Amino acid sequence: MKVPHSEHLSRHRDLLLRLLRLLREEYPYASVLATDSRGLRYLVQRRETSIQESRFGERGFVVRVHDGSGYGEFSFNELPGASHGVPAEGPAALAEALAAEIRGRVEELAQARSALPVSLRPYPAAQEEPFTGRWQGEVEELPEQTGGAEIVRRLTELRDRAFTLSDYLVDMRVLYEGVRVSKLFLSGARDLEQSYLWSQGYLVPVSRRGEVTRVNHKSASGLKGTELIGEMAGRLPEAVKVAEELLGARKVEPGEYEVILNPTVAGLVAHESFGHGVELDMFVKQRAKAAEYLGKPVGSPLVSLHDGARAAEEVSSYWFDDEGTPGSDTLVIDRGVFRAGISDQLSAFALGLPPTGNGKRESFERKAYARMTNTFFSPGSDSLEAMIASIRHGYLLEEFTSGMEDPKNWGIQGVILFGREIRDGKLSGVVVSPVIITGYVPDVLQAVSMVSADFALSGSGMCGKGHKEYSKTSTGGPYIKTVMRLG
Amino acid sequence: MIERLMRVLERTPGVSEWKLVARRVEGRELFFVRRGLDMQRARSVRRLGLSVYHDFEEGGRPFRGVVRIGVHPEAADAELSRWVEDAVFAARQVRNEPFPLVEPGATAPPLPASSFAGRPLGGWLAPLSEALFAPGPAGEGRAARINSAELFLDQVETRILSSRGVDVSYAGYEGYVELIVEAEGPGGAVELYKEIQFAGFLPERLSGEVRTELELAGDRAQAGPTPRLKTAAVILSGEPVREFLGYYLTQGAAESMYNEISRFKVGDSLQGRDVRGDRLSIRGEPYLEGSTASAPWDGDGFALQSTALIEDGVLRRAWGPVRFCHYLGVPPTGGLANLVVRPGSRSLEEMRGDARLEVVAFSDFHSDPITGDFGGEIRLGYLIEAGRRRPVTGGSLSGNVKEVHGELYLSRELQQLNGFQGPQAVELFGVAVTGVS
Repeated sequence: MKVPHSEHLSRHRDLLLRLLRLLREEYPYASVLATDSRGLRYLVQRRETSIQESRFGERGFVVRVHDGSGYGEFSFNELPGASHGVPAEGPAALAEALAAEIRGRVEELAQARSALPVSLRPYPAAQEEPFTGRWQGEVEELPEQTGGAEIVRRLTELRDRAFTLSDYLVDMRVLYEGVRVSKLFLSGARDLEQSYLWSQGYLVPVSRRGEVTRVNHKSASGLKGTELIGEMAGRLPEAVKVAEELLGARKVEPGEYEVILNPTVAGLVAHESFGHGVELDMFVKQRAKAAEYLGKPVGSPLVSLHDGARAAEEVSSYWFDDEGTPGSDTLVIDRGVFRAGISDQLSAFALGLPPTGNGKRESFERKAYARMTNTFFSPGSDSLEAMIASIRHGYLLEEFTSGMEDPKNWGIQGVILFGREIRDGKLSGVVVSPVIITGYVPDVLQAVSMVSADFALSGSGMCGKGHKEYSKTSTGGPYIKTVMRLG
Repeated sequence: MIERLMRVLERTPGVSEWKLVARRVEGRELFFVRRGLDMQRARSVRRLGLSVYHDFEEGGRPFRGVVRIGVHPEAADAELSRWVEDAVFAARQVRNEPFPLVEPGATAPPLPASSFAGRPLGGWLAPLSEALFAPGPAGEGRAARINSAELFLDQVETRILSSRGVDVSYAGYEGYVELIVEAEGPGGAVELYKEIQFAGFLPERLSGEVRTELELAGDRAQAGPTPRLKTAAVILSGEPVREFLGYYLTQGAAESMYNEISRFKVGDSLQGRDVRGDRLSIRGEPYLEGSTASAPWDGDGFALQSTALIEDGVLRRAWGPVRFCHYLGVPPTGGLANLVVRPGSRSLEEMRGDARLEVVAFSDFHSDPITGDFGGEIRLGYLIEAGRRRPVTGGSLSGNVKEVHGELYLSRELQQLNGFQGPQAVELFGVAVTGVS
């Protein structure tokens, strides 16, 4: 069924159009983004249950203007003189009051700017191509129709089933979060509205034997509703089994190994190693090593990498970004050659390129940056069995805990939850955990020697820009064989 | 808005209790690329976090369900009513053991006024920017400089109300700088990333942190590859110290004990039976100068006090909000604001007297508060051998808190990282190091 549009945005549409007309009379460029995203996070544990607003819930407005010198923004979620909704004096008066408020803010910003010990970087006022319309995502089950009682019942059932599968569990966390995202973007050439729903779920068994405590996590995600809980149920036995296996995990002998990255870990490498490094605001800041490699080989011919809101159907698939630019599919690496980066509006202006629809905000309260959406390696033609058989001593790396970008120096860092040892072409049964992977991006991508025909994306968790600006992204790809340092 | 919401709460059946945390934020933001201003922003928002409690019985057992939702200031009355009704309905599914809410009447000393209070927010942008850029390029011949920076300054007013009659408020400032510094070296350009938080105008502290980071970037530019050491005695310095000690805070939390994530109880030695090095002492403090985490009240409206959590390695208090302390039958400490860790027995000079790998910057130091596993990729370290201290980069280190805390040493020198005041460094033994040469 279609995800309904926001009544709140519909109610404020006329007001925002009037505001935009007033601002455009004064400024070379003006736009308004209005957001209304809402969702609940359900967590069932052994001894407690919690239901709370998703951290991705937001409702507010951000106005961007070009005042003839540069861009400034004002984020707000209360309308002047109104306690709620549109006041009795009507939208025209409210639009005037709001425009006056924004004028004051713009003047204050200009005044503050004049006292700074730095100069203003010039940007042109945006000249946009016309782009209008409305878009609705579709899911099988809307969370509000499923209802909180049924969601808690399904999660509780998974929790209880987990305890029947293992005697070593001390806790079992089962989480479901579904967020309906609704956005309205208005500018001189753009009139856009979209509503879609993404969901994510986690299975987190905590196992203990003696003094050893281990935590596994298995996730599911997508542009889905509560039907996602059914997918989680299918992954439960494996999640519990791995939590038991981790109790006997060894430490990896530090060194360089042939490794197979499962689709989740391949996604981490795609995201941290290359994705952040081709966000084009990094090029503007001269923080990206990738800038030296445009049009040049960066990996084996087996490596192709995409990013884009329209490149796949996952949690970061949208119709337009937070600057009103259509989502797209960017071929970042084509058979080993770096072809293109991903941009927000300002980085595209600075580099003289068309924006790719990757301008994303954590919420209406925050700035838009060039951000990844759905980032993945393209599948190849090898089989996982053949990849394992080709390794004398190495590891199959599965699931990750965290990763961090290093765009300037192209270092890879990731904490992998566990790896399975491969000896003489077979899984030996030995599990190692945790595993820190490190390497130099071109070395790791050049060393890719086999790529499987499988393909999977994962959109659980959050992506930060540095250590803030958290947003939803998905990552993934096939199984990939390469060489990395493990520790 | 708050009055409208209270009226809705009063007339909605099933609302046993409620709590509201209202925050008004006025913010200014500057985004710098090198010495150019890329973008300016202003922010004026009100955030309302509503907890709706529903008490019920099932099978003769009492439960208290709670649902926490965001309430938006522009919501119409009908919308507010629907959200509260939905919250009550959802709370009926939450079968948690009953727990009390904070009662009114306690007093807490107000926070000292911030030095930012003297002028409008916008008036601080120029002086803060001057302090940020004051150090200039650093290091002879190394040309370490600021690549880019983001400066945020928020004025935040917080009010906590509840159906029990709690109505407390406090105000403060939250400053934040994201700093990227870079330097040129024989192997090309390198960079380092730093977050700086502050609650008052302390320009010398801000300039000092920038200067230190520029010097570190210069060192990273000159760094050689980390050698393969297998296991080594290491010194973690700076931010990783806070992350490393986070294990003990999770293990001492009442919520962790209730959920059996932690097996510790009050009176246990957290560092094991045989402790040869320094023993940890950690206090919770409502106020720490310059910390944005300072607060007289926790999120439930509980009055915070200076509290000893761990003394000489022994857990003295299970810490946490009223709910989880009630479950354990221990007096509540409230949520923690700032942490103060007692300095140790060794000076940095003494720690550096023997062969050590001192790591001052990781790509992302990871410390698992449940399993105790820690580690990360080394962005900048120093290999100390035969009286020489040379910079190294690359590779990683890893270990487990439980395997190293029987003999760890804390530095006598202190550092403050926003809400953390504690040793500048921690010395550990037998840590696995994966080098690159």
